[in-house]
Amino acid sequence: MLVLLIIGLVACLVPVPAFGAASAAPVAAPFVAFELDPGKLYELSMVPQCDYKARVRMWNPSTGEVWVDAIRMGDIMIHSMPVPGHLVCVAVGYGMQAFYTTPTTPVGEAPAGQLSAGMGPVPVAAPRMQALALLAEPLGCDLALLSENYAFSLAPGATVAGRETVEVRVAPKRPGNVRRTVWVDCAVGAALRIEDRDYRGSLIWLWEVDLISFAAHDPRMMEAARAALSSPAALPCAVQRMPLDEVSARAGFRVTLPAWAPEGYQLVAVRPARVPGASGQRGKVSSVAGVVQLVYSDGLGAISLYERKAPWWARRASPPRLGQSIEWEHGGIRYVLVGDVDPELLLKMARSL
Amino acid sequence: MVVCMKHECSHLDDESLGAYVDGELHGPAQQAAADHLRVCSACREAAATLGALGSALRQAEAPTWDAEAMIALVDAGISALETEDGAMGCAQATPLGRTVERASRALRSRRRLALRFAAAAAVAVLVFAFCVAGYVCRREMAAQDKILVDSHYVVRSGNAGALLVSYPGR
Repeated sequence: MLVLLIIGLVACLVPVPAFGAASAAPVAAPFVAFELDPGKLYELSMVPQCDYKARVRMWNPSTGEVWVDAIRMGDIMIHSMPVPGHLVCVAVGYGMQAFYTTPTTPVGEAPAGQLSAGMGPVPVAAPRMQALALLAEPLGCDLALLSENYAFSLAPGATVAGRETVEVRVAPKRPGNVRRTVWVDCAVGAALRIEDRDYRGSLIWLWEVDLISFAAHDPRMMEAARAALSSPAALPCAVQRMPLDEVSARAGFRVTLPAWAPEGYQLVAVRPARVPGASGQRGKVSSVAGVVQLVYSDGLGAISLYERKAPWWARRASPPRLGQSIEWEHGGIRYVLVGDVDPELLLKMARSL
Repeated sequence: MVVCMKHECSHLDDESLGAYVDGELHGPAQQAAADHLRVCSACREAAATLGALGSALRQAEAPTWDAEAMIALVDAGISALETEDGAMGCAQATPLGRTVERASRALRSRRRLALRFAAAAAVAVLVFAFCVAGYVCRREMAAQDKILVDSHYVVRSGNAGALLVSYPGR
């Protein structure tokens, strides 16, 4: 087993042909196939030991389809999205994260790397940018928690982006939870496609490599990323978990925790949230301020509880009702509970507040 | 019903007299009023005046009312009557005086009613504005709830992607 693992790690370092020639690339020995421990393979796929450049399609029910470019080189990972004249980038490396823009003009004609304020205000097209920025948030990185609540297994995989894969299936140990499938490149161990489905089997998250290249990358991008990560605007990679008293003082009301959460779920984030508004059929909805977000996770599934104060002239107590998202009001506080789990579990959690 | 208790006499009171002239009394009340008018010349005279006044009013074209002037006129008439003889019984009161007094009572009653109506309307407008503001705010909050729900899915997307870029075990 150990020998196979070593062989697998060595195989990761094998150089692979460039873009366009990927499908014709000579595939290294199938080191992973059904030999590695599925959990280890999953872990390896999340942090591939090779440099690459890829075009990635992301989808979720909220933002819809979003295309980003991903570059991994050494210890730095960059996701970027083009806007007119610029690339909006999020870089992660050395335990830090930075959200910045860089001009698309060649080096020498414009300064490389103009930083915005860390993970702060999102510059344009808020939901898409937010999706990009959140790629840097290390929520869900707790593999110990994941292993506690999920079981891993392997299955033969399809061809993704012209490359042979093996499927790593991450199945919940308890019913009513999310399941994940990862298509892992047989040659280098990188994840090429990730699908999350809720307890009913509906797709709730997709991350898929469309094109991938293992050739040398854009040095200008790496230079800008290094500058961003070493600037004062960079922030540590950490999930924000503020003390309840502090977040209550900021929000102006007493934040309460539910007395019960689905088995395996732990409180992983407590933070004030300012959510940008949105344009709907009846005009623009103003941004939502004074919101506190509590995130519970079992390593893969997530449940968000939002709490905010209702204006006194608009208060109307209402009980929680069964649904995939539950909105209710009690004691002048408006609650929104949303998660990927069975609605019965959500309702029980709502009623425990 | 037909006895004027205020002045301790047995004449028809103003309301009964007016109702009789307008044909609004029926049954025993109408009979009792008719019986009284047969024996009481004062009331007969008053009834005749009221009847003539009613006919004249019905034949007259709709006037343009100057409410303030009319109220002032009525007030002046009331003051004049009060200064003449406050204790004058209905037997001594002239039919015109009684008619004016009745009209002034009606006007004062209407003014009070109008004031009450205005106050009630103001309260209703305030309550309505409060309800509308609450309704609009609740709708806005419901729309914001939807944004928060969407925000959760963005966050959980980050949850998936984060593992790709920042897992510290490398």
